[in-house]
Amino acid sequence: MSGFQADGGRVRKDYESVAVSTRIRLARNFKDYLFPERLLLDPNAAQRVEEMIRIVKSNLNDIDDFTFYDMRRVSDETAEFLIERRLISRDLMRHRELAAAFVYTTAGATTQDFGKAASFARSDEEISVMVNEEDHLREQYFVKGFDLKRAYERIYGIDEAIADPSLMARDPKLGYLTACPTNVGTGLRASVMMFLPALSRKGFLEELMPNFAEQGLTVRGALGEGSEALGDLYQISNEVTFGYSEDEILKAVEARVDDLVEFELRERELLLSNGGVALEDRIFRSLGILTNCRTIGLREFILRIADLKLGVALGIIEGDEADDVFGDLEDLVTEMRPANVNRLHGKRLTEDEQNIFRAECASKKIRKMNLHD
Amino acid sequence: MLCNRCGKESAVHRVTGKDGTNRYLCEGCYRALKDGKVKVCPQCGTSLSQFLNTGLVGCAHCYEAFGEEIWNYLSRAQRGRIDGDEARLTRMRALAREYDKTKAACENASRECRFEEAKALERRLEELQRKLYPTEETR
Repeated sequence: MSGFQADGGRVRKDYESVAVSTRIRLARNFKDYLFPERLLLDPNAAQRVEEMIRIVKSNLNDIDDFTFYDMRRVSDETAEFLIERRLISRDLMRHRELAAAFVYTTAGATTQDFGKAASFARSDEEISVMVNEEDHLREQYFVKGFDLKRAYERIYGIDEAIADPSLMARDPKLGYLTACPTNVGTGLRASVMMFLPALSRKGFLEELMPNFAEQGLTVRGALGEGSEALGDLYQISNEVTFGYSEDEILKAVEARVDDLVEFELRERELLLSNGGVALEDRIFRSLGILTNCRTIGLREFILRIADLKLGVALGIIEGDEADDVFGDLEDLVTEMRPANVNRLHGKRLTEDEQNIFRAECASKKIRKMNLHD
Repeated sequence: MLCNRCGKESAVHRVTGKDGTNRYLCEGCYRALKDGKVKVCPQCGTSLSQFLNTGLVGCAHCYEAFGEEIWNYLSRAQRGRIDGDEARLTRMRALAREYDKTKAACENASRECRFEEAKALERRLEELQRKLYPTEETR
């Protein structure tokens, strides 16, 4: 390495450039109905599902303007779109004939019909209630940035409204009963999405994984296949749901996120001072490709966007002052996923066509961000 | 129709659970059930082997029917202690803080020509470096 020092960079010290978003979910079941996997065999399943949906619907509508999706009637394309947006899970489609979802986003109502809604606008807060996923109810709350306390308060409000404790499957010793005992007790999963480019480079995270497990927590890649962390995105969440209060679980996740943020920011400083011209080159090369490419596959796209995010995080590149470039880049990754691209375009495209459309859309948007050194 | 329990043989018996749901079983599974060799939830008919294979129970009553097995399962799946020993990450964070402080002190000492002290601090830095990045040497 030459003695070249990257000039002009200054590591951003904000939490949001590390802890990107917070997600909380609660798992609940009605005590009088068979759990979803078993409910499939019940001759009166359709009636039971109607009853569940009625209970949820009547209570949710008082809270916010939720969009209702009956999964039996939703097209594959729309389902995929919602999965990419993480508003529903792939598991919900396993019991499609029983399944439904209620979705609220701050970006406003979502249309069910493919092609009608161009795409969601940016959404800072999302709530979804899935009916008959692995459990009867999966209540999820998503918020940008790192705010476990707010996330829990919000989902607790939803839970109080729709999951009347007298109707729920509970045990005085075990707590809430769930289809899979790994969720029993609180039924709570608190997860924080983290962008950890500097730490992952050092192989820190793989090394820390066993210790996370000892602490009742888990760290895994948030994008990509298996445990791969495509685009340096990781998800930190609790594995333990039983034997501790909600508050204790939230505090444990929060403490590890705090540790990781401090560590990542420190490693970013080192990365910036040791990265030299190679680091700058990588970031500007990705900027060049993203603003000029004519076709780009999803995988390369995610990796190049991660380079830009790193550039912004290290202060090597920046956008116009008022814009939240980091958040915009984050959103762009979701918007450019296959089903989202199809929806944005208005019709189902082949993979090659998607790559061309992705290049066209993304390069326009990234040019508008006016990223410069 | 294949047997609801083993999914291999043809179903020849119908068994109605307490909640009115029907299950269709092959001869072998039906016999095993009648002889009490199969542990099943009386409410929903989920068998113990189904739970052990899928990790999923069929209804709230399964928690009573398979109490012991679920307890064993839980003690494996949820053995992490969030209130256990201090997390390794927290210890590393403390090491990193010490490293950064020692580095500043070392640079200070060199600048002020306190070479003995600087040398001692350098040794401490190397030590901390090894603790912080134990895998780097093997890479």
